[in-house]
Amino acid sequence: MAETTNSLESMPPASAWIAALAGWLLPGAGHLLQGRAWRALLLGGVVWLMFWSGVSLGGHLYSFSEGEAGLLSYVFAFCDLGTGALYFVSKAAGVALTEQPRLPTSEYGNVFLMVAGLLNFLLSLDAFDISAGRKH
Amino acid sequence: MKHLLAMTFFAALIAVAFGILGREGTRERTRYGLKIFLEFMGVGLGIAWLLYWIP
Repeated sequence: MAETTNSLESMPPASAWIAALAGWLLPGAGHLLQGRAWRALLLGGVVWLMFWSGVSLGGHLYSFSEGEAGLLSYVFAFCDLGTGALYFVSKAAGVALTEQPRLPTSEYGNVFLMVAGLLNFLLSLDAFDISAGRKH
Repeated sequence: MKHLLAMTFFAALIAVAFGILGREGTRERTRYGLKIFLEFMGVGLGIAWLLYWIP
């Protein structure tokens, strides 16, 4: 019984999961929920800027249904998925859906989009750790 | 030129994010962010220079 209580006490609070989920869904929202406006503005701003730059450079968002493009496309899709709502809204709005190989910077665009997603995963984990008291 | 600009912009964004996430305190963050930025630029230019000699 005592062990169960201890393990429950060591569990991260629900707010940590909410901050992480909000941070993943909307870059910067996790830190904003914690009242860390500057951190949210700077870190969220980096993800938003990187995503927007990726789209502007001609990058495209991979999806899991692009299996015929090779196994790596699943990895790329996972990276892109890190941008949360930006990914889903762009997909729904028809933004960055297709490759633009004629643009010399399209490969850069793809990298910008993937790194934006990976950075947002890091932001989400950072928001989780702050709420769980593992980081200040 | 657009390629160099894209690389510089990319390095700057990564440096800001890593600086904030990786260190505590303004001074430490600035130093770490600058280090990351210079490393990205140095390695990028180094690889570009090496590739220049490969036909």
